Amino acid sequence: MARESVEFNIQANEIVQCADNTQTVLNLSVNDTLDISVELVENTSGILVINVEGIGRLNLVLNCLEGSSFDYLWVNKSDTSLVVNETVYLGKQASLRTNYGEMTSGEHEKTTVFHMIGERSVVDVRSASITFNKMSWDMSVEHEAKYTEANLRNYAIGLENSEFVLKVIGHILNGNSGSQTHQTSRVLNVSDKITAVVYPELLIDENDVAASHACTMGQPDPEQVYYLQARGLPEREALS
Amino acid sequence: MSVLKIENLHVSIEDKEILKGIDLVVKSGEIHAIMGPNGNGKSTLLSAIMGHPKYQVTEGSITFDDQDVLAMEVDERSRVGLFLGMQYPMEVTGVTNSDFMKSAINARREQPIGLFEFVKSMEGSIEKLQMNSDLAHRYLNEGFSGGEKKRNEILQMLMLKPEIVMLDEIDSGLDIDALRIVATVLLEEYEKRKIGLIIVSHYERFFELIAPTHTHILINGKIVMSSDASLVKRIDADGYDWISRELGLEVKKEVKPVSSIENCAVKEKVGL
Repeated sequence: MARESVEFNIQANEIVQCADNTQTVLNLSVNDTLDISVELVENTSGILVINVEGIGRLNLVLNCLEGSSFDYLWVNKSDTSLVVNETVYLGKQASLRTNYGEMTSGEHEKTTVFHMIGERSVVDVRSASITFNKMSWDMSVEHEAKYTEANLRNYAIGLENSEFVLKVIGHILNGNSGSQTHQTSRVLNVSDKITAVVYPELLIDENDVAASHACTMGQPDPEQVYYLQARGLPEREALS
Repeated sequence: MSVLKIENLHVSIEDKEILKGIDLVVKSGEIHAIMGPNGNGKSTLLSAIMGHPKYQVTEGSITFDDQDVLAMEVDERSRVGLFLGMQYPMEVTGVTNSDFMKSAINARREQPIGLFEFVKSMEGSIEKLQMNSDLAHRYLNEGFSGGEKKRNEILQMLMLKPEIVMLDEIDSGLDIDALRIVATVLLEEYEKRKIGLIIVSHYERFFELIAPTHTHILINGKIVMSSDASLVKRIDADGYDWISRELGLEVKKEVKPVSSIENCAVKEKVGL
């Protein structure tokens, strides 16, 4: 059965419920402060797309109710300045696969917290950030139930004179055995004028859990860049 | 006629002076051979001309057709007409040879090169150098043998059409047949476009195939002797010691670190 697609342009505070087997597209236009609450109904599946633009503060709450299974795509289209507070609740056996696209020339501050409040809930996060200017992102997963699973994979490229700070915390609270929290962060700096900092953290307060983190940060091989430049490619093109 | 002029060039790496006052003039239509013991500055000279960032020019000048080369970035030096065939060409995964060449050619042109013109030129060059026809689609130098990498340097030279071509030990890694192909292609290009050539090599066999008009011996960071092609034969027959004696020089020999033998092995060797 073909999936229906619905689209909403939102400029004022709103509560949205995503229908089953539907692609729901929310175009958020932030002007000062915007509060949005999105509900993914029990035992439904679908796709949620959030496109954000504007300047100011966005408070977003995403409730993934019991048994819901959604793909979530977030695209930041603001070239100015956004402060985003994103709170995600995952109920029992809820599953969320998120993809974040942060590729703007703005200055952004973002806090994302995943509360795994229902047993056997799963969140899979992939983010791709290209920092032209400034980006600061605190991302955390709070395992507040048993057998919850989180996989966070963050990839970033820092361009000239940019600042990128990423803090990723996986926290398994006491009493939540059988839970898993894994995180990978990879940052590529294409200039030596970049500031890039990654803080990977695992806070584990329970036995019988699994947790891992991996972080690498690097620059392109300068010998390769020199070789490409020695054939006439400008540095920026050689780096790309 | 293009002229590359190097005057009193001093080059250091990590505060250690390698070149101690090089003077050299290379014109279109000339073939300059640079020879000398290992570790005395030959590759440093070519790398410094091309602008490798690890070398610091502390004194002197390099001009090309009266333009200040030292004021140019690496890519600009390439676009004005300098080319360096490297001793150890880099592998760059994810970039095909054809994409790379097209980008490099377009970096020199106002309008991008047409697809047909590019493909014809690339296929023609691949055929001239008798290289594998799938070269265009392979990643830049990845998985290439040493000899293939060197021939790929010559292919790039053919496509980019520079005025002054510098070759750093292009003959190393080439078997005799590949050497003949490279020398033939170079000579053809030399005859057709009257390019200037600066060739660093240790061996007469390459200079038998492409006879230099000028030969220079670089010892301890300085050009200590210059002559014509006859100097190559003398070096091949007698080495460099006679030069040191004649000029009263102490030749710096490249010293590779010695692997140490563990104590127990030494004791066994002397029966202790």
